[in-house]
Amino acid sequence: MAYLEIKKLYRSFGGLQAVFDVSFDVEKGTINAIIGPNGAGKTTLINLISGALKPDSGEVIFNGLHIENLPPYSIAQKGISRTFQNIKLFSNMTVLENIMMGRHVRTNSGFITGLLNLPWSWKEEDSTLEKSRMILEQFKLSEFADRPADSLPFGKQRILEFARAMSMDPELLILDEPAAGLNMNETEELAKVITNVRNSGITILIIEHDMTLIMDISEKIVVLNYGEKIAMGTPEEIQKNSDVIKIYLGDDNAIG
Amino acid sequence: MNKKKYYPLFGLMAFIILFQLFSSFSGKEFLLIQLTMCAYYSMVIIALCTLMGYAGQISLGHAAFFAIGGYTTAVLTTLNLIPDKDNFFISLFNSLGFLSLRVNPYGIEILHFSPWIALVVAVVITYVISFIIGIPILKLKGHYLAMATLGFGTIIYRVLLGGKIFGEADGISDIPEFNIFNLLKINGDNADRIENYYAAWFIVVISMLLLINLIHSRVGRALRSLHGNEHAANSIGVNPARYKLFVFTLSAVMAAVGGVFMTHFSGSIGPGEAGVLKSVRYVAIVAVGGMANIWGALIMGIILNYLSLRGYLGSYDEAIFGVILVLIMLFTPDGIFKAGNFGSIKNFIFSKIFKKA
Repeated sequence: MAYLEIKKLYRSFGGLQAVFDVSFDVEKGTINAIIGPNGAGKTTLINLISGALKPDSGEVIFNGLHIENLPPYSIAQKGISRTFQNIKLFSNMTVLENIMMGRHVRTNSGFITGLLNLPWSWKEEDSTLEKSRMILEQFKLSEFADRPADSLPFGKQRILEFARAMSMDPELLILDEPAAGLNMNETEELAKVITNVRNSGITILIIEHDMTLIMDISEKIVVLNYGEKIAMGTPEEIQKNSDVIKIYLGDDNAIG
Repeated sequence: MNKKKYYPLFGLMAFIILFQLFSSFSGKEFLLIQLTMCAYYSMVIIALCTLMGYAGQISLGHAAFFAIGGYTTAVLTTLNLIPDKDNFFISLFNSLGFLSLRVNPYGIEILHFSPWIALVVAVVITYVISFIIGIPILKLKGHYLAMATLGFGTIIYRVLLGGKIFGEADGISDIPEFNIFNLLKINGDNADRIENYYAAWFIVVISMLLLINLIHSRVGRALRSLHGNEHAANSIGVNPARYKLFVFTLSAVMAAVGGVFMTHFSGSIGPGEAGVLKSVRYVAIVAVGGMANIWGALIMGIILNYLSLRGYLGSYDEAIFGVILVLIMLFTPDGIFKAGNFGSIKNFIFSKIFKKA
């Protein structure tokens, strides 16, 4: 059984079929890309996997567990973390606190412990802080630690969101257009970071429009068009696939 | 563990003691009465600040929770059970020590629930009410949540105003003192006003301690993350419904505790305490202090409530709080204690002086 299985997933908005009969498998420790033109249903598909949306029908099985009807927070607790296409940081908190939020599912001090500041939470807080500082160091954000998250330049905000998703020690990391708005150097840097993350054993599912990045790093590519899966395979296979070429470059017989 | 967060508490305690000494030495002990009332209102303000400023959930119905606490204790400690004293439950309560007997100024014997039991019942009732209404209304956001809580506050106000058991428009008076282990008595007696003053502020200091702990804990961080971005918080493992309900009920219960003690202190309570204008006043004070700044809210709560209770705001009282809310929202939505504010005021004054020179 595959690590993450998507089986016959359907989702419509009103009359629009955003995701239509999509099935694919993701192997553990690989980088998997979802590509397709605008409006192909990529983000909807990711929202279905991460629980932000509920499917009309179909199954999502992660590590042998059905997760298609779980709310986002319990999917996060299962070890799936994600970033957003339009960055969603905690703008009222500092960069460090944003990272610390990533540790939420890995810690468990509750309401009463919080109110009374009970001693057993101190150690947990210390380790949260220590781990978060390590992540900041790793993503070269240390100098911004005490700045409000929304005061960072755009590129750094993307990196911060990535770092926040990583600080939770995820098993599956879902990235929604992580290179959007980044310049070429930053994108190259990002490719290295993603490959490193994969090498540390974390499975990655990525949506991206930057084809160079996708072809460089991914092991498997799923192509969506109008909500349907039209192709799946290695970067080489996808580059040769006539259906894919058609939707990206147009039909040979097209008039005009 | 970071101990810095507790330093302002010592400042608060020092202020409380110094104010008492000052008022006693200058023979103006009557000033303590308003400051005692300020303490009880501060309970609502710090509770609301945690809910609004940190967790980002507005409530225009917090006066209702204060009143629910106050009215619960008022009803239970004034309801005369003498006619039913042979009833099985009443005699059971009596033998359990839940009841106490007193003689009112007209020489009538009154058997009523002891204030301790009333406090527990008030907390439970407030918790249950806030829990039940919290489940549906906390799904709402922003203006819609404000409107729903406003509606809730109005309902409670009308119920208290119209209910016979709540004394209708007159409210309930002749409420007995709250005796804490024979050490402290919470009552409106002039002879006990220093005692009352310290009892009130003791409750506030304890509440502040709890809230400061909470704000700086893992749970507090999660609450602030809900304020920052609920989607992101949800996708990172925070259950929004659960956390919002927790902070809403906590904040409601804290307001109710303030109401219970305030009622024993003043010896009476009226439906005005549940009024919408009161709720707006609390929101205004939290906004002036800076939404996510519990110390700012407490300080502004003390100053503004004190001025209002001393009568300095005159008959324009409610209007002034409305004006304050508008001005703050226009000019400094993060409250007047925002880091940059004092700098810019200083610069403004200096620029005026140097222009003239």
